[in-house]
Amino acid sequence: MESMRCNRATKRLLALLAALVVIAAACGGSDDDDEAADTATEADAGTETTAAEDDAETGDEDESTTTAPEGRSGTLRWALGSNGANFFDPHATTNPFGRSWMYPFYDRLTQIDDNGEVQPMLATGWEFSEDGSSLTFTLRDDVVFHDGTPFDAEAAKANLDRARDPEVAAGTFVDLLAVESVDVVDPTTVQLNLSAPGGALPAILSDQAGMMISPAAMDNEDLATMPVGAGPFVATEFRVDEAMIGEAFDDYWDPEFPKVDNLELRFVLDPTTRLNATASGEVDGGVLDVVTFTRSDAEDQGLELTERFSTALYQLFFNTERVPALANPEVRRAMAMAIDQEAFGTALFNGECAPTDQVFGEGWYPRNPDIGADYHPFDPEGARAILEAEGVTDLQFTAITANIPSFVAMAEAIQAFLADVGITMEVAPTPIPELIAGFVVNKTADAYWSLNPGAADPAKFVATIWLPSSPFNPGGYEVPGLVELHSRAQEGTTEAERAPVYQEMAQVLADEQLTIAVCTPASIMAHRPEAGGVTLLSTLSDVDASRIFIEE
Amino acid sequence: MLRLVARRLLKVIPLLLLVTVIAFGLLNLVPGDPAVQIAGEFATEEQIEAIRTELELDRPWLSRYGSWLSDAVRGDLGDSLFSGVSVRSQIWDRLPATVSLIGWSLVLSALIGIPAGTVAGWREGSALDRFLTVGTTIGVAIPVFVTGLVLALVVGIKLGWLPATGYVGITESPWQWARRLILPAFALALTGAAEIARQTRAGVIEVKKQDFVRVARANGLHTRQVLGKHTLKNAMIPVVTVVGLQIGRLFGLSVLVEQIFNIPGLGSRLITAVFENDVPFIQGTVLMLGTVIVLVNAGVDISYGYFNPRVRGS
Repeated sequence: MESMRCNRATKRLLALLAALVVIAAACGGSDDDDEAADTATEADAGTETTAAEDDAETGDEDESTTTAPEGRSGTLRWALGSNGANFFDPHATTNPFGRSWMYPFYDRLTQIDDNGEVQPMLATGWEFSEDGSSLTFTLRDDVVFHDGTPFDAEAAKANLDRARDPEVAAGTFVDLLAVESVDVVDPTTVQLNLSAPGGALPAILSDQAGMMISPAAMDNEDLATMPVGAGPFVATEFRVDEAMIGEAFDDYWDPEFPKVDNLELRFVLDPTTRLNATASGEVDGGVLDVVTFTRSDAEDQGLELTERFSTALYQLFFNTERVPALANPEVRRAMAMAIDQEAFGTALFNGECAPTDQVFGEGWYPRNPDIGADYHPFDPEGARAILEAEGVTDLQFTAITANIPSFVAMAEAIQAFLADVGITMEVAPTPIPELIAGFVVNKTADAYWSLNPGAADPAKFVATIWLPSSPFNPGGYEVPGLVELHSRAQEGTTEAERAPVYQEMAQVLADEQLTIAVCTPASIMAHRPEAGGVTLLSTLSDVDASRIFIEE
Repeated sequence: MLRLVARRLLKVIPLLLLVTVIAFGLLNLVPGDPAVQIAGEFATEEQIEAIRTELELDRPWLSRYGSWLSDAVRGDLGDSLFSGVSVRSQIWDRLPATVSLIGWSLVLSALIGIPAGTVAGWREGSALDRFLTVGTTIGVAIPVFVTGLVLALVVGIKLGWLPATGYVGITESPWQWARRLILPAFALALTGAAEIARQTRAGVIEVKKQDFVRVARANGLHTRQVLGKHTLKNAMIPVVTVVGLQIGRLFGLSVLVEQIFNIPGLGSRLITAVFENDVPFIQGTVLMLGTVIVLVNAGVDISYGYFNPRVRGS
């Protein structure tokens, strides 16, 4: 009798719990999550999904049939996987993964279109003087900053002077080393006086160095968390490592944008959570992590994919000063031949990391079309022969890498390839804050396995990695002819003029292999079908959220 | 009872001091120079040194600890290194999500664990007992991230019954707040429920063999009275200890669950703070969580006095 009562009580309790869960589930039928689930279910049943699989080479992008609404409507919620969220001062930040957070709030002097060409933005045009000693920008006259301050030549000068001041602009001063001074010619004309060839500047000024901050807000104590620019969105709320909220800027100069009333950029670190959040409708889209997921993982959940070529590169950096054998280009060439890039990309990236033997990725204008992925063919036998001929019998060094499982796995794969030809590479998983300190500043690491997200202009890419003064060349190794080529490449003022020099540079770097370039990762956004106009930047996994719209 | 409370609270003070030393000291032992990170790869040694001076990283350890402690006792935990946002306001903003998650989990753990353990213990050796014992073993064994991912994928996305990710504040929408916490709280509660069930079962088995329970039954008391008034109250001491320990454990596991379900709580922020080497935030959070755990443990000790009067005098 007692046990029956007890059982009954237990049953009642379990039934109550079950009922609570069922009621909770059933009563939420009208919110986004259930709509999302419906969408996912439809997709499972085979309704249309669109993937822009063939666009990697052409630049863009969105093959979706989604049409933009008339005027503005809705809220765009986008999940970003990089924590560049904590510093919105575009000149001061040194985080190379913060662009996606800043683009909606800061307009630049120029912008780069889907084909990788520099186009006007706040500047309507630009012109180099005949002797190349100055670069003059003509500015729009209908632009105001979010705080009402008008944008004019004085404002542009204040920004350019700030962006090249090493005391303030740790992130951008190196981009503007060629600028000696800035003059205001008239309210809509600003002239940059150059001390060195400045062909890269129009592209460089499409990036953080060209982001315009309201001069009245430059000294704001909260500038790092509340940007005041001239972009299509006004920042309204910042939540550390969580979200940046913005609303459409009514006085934005381009009547076409933005297409949504409100913007929520959310930081979602975990790739699985990011995809789940998109599939469930909590966000409209986000970065697809190609290490964790395949395209079909996203498509199977009813999501569309948008991608574009990326200037990013996975590579092995060396400190040639610490390990003298690594200063021998033949040894580095042997190492390049020891790595099976195809197998590497297939095993670790689901095939989404394009093998490369040159530093400029597919689709980028400086790429040398004559240098294929088999320029240093996978040939362990050949690698061993080179090492033997060079008298290298016991090469040992330690490579640091981020203590993130995927990075450690990649480094261990490289380790195995090198071991096969008799090279011992120890892998030292290292906390992220220690990486730059160890390899660049204190120069205590022999080698460094990492990802460089790419750059708006090849000049910045080269200056960061391969010049004798580059931070990622801590041994100061001098690639023959590279400094001269770097300078010559900036004498050209158009991409057409600069491309041949960069192709020559690509050849020199492919022969030298100062860094072992392994592959270029795909840059893909997974988004809900109703999100259109998805525009990616050429730097890895960066998106310009100010161009995205939500179909009603 | 008052003496017990006073005695226990006095012990808290040196413990809290130890927590501050550990919170401050451990992170000073960890390699990494925030100044280098802030300065960026193109910085000169002078620029790095200037940042070090600005952050007061060049002062001796003890001097920095003194300043930090003095500020901390006044509620000032400093500012995050990169955003400059105050640590206290960040903890304050994120605490509601974490407390909601942990609160829900504790309630679910107790709601599942205590009845299950009671039934199993009261019916020791029965098929139901064996079933529940196997269930609790599985519950303890499954890692929380596995439960979380499976729940998010199956219940949240495939079935679409409950939201798979996200959090809504209780002030914004109490209903959405509750709905969005069910899956993460359940994932977090499962292990705790299993542990509570095992402790409850063991306690009930032990107590039900005591003379006073036999006397109560011999006097013809109703099972509900024997179980509720005499057995469970005495079996609760180890259970309360487990519940107390659960709070610390739940704070730890919430780091994973918040990440899986995209809940903007302390745990998810702590992960990025570690990646960023945001020392002030890590110190502030460790101090806050350490304080909570020390106080909860003191509360658990004090609660023994309520359940067992013999403890009050000892």
